[in-house]
Amino acid sequence: MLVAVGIAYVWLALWPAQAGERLFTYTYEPETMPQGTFEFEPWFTLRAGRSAAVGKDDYYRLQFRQEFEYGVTDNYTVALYLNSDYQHYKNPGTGQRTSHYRWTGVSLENLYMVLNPAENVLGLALYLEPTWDGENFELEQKIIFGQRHGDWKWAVNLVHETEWEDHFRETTGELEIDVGIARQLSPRWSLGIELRNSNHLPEYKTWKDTALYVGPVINYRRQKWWATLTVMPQVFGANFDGDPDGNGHLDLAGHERWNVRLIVGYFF
Amino acid sequence: MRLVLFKCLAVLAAIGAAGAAELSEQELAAARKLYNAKCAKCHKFYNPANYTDAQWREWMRMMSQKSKLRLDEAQLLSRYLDTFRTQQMTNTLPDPGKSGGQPAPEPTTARPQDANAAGRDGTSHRQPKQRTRKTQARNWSTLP
Repeated sequence: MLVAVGIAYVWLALWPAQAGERLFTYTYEPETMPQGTFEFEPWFTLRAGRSAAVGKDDYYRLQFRQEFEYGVTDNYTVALYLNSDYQHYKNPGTGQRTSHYRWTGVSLENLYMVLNPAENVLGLALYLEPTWDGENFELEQKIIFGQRHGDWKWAVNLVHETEWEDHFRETTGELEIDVGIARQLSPRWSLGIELRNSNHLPEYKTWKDTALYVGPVINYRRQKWWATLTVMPQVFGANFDGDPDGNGHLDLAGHERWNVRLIVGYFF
Repeated sequence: MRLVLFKCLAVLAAIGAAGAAELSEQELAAARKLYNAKCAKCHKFYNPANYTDAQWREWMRMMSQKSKLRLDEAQLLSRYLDTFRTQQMTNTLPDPGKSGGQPAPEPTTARPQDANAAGRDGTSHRQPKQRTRKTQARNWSTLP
């Protein structure tokens, strides 16, 4: 009996963790957490490389999010985010370097699974996330599609976000499409590709810019934790209000050259 | 700590005792729904017939804890999935992956066909062999 249990434990070490792990970092999947489950996810996002022409030489921004996620029902998951970031750049005109760390507020994620991909041809979920930092308010909405096909899994997000800044004096709209496709290579590893298209619409009057990022995503999972990393360079970008960054095929004024995100999840 | 230990033992006992029991149509429908909500949502179908009894029970215990299954849910799910092990022994295992997603697998009958062939603990018909790590990993990737 002891031998059998011992072998079972060795065998379990080879099994994949299976609960709320994410195969993508920018693209959400439609599945919600099982009722009563809890997960902690620290996020690390690096956004690096803006144009010196817009006064942002040596630019990088580190965004930190601590997510506490809970399965309220099998179809509804809520999460609390604590957000902060660190920003650094150099003004090429004066040579002055600016670095600052700041608190960027609290977010409350609401994810409701309308169609379970296990029961339907297509999985569908709706997402609503308000964020407030004392001065600025954001409201993010997503329509999330996705499905699993054996070892393959894909997801598509249609994202709209409104930012009210400076005590609601300024408004910016953002439209985004996120796409991810990944394959489970083994019980532990998944490998895929992510695509992100981001657009800014100041005051909803003009389409200011667009940027397309594409890059690999890798996921590693254990029984109690998992980690997912995406590295996405900007492959195409454009400014529609002139060419402030002087770059013909990338947008390095409103977007960065690199988007890198690591999410680690711990189950409880 | 005692409570956790008690819960683990209770789930293990429920899983162990569940194997030979038959499922009514009502239970089968409930089990499918449970499987879709708690299992298939997160991962593909793993065929119990590909694992030894000890491996499968331990796996079910761990996953029951992870997805916070109640005792009755864990027991129902175990009985449901055990029907596939039984059907594998009689070469009637259905294809669980029918559409793009991973719908709940459907046993061809509600009742395990060779339940009488099993021992009192409902385990004697199960695969006794232990696999190597390499074989196990291969089986994982080639499951339906």
